[in-house]
Amino acid sequence: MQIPLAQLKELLETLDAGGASELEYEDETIRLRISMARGAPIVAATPMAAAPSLASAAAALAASAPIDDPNTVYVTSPFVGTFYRAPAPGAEPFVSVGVPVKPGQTLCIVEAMKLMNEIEAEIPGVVAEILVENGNSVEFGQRLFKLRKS
Amino acid sequence: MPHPRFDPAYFAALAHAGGLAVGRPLELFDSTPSTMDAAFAAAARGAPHGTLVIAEEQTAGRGRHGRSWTSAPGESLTFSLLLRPRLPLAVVPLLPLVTGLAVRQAVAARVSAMASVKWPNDVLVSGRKIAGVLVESRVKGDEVKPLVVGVGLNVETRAFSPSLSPMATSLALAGATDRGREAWLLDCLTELVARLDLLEQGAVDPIVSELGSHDALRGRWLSAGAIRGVGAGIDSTGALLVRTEDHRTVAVTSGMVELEGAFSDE
Repeated sequence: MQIPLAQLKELLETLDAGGASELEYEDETIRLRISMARGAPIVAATPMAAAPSLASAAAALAASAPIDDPNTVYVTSPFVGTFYRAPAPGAEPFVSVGVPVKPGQTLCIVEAMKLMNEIEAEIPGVVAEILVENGNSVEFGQRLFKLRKS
Repeated sequence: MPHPRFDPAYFAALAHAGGLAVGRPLELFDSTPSTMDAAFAAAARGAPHGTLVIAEEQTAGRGRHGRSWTSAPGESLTFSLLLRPRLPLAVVPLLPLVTGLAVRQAVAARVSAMASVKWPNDVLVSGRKIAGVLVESRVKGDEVKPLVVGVGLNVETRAFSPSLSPMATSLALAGATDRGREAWLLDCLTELVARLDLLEQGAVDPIVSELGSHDALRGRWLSAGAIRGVGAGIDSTGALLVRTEDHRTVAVTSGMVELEGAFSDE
């Protein structure tokens, strides 16, 4: 299920050279969507089949997805699920744009199969962008937050 | 008649006799807002894998995304188990179902009526809810940090409120009146540990197969948000498969499922 780095690089180079803004690739194991935004590719991959090697696919993508700005990091979804910005309906959101966050601070909940996953910040930073609307479904590996390192 | 208080010393003796690998240390509250919160608070203080939190009464127990779950003191078995498992991230979404299977097995061993798991997190007896499961985790990068499994099992409840009455049941109502909550807890945890061991070894197939045998939604008309169709099983990621009227199979990973013609005994 893991995408070899060479193949991913090839796809990105092909996309870059061709000038298209979006590319979709699908086989039995993975669905990959790449779109070019502000000159930087956004990669989202959805595993199509059995679970155990998802982590390795994630690692491959995380390692190879180019980062447009070294001072920016993206927090991605570890699961397919539903994105919640607050601990309960009507409650205050965990974070908003412009808010500084500490490592270990909860940013959001991704709910899947009734499993509530509180997603935590890994680094100190400031929330630069929230990329998903509250209550929307998210794909595995989808970018949820853009953090500016502090 | 008041129900006997949960006896931690008796539970510890049972757990020791049964070789249970979790359940120590044990925190027992007469009343706490939520055993889930208490377990995460214990985790933040460095509590080990297997720490168990039990409450006679929860004042702000959680159901699905903030929906509250309340019970009279002593009638239910309400606990949260802190786990620090070595699980691949990808199998973590299976945990609510796996916990449901564990509780189902504990119940089915002592109750003659049919017990099943209703995706994603309920245990049913004769089509009525006997237990609910809630699992919460903290994820940082690709690492699952503490994970808390919460269960509320109706044990001694003889009467439910009129709105719950047609859809809820208890062990007492199902005819299992001969054991204390300590013994039920031991059974639930023993079954859970057995299944967690499988997952830690990467053995997803036996879990998927067990889900296939006890899936309350299989073959039933249901709706999940805008999707309407017939339950067609649960896949290896834990997603509910729904066969729609236009012959597509849709994988549902989130949201409420309503059974059509629910709560009839089968």
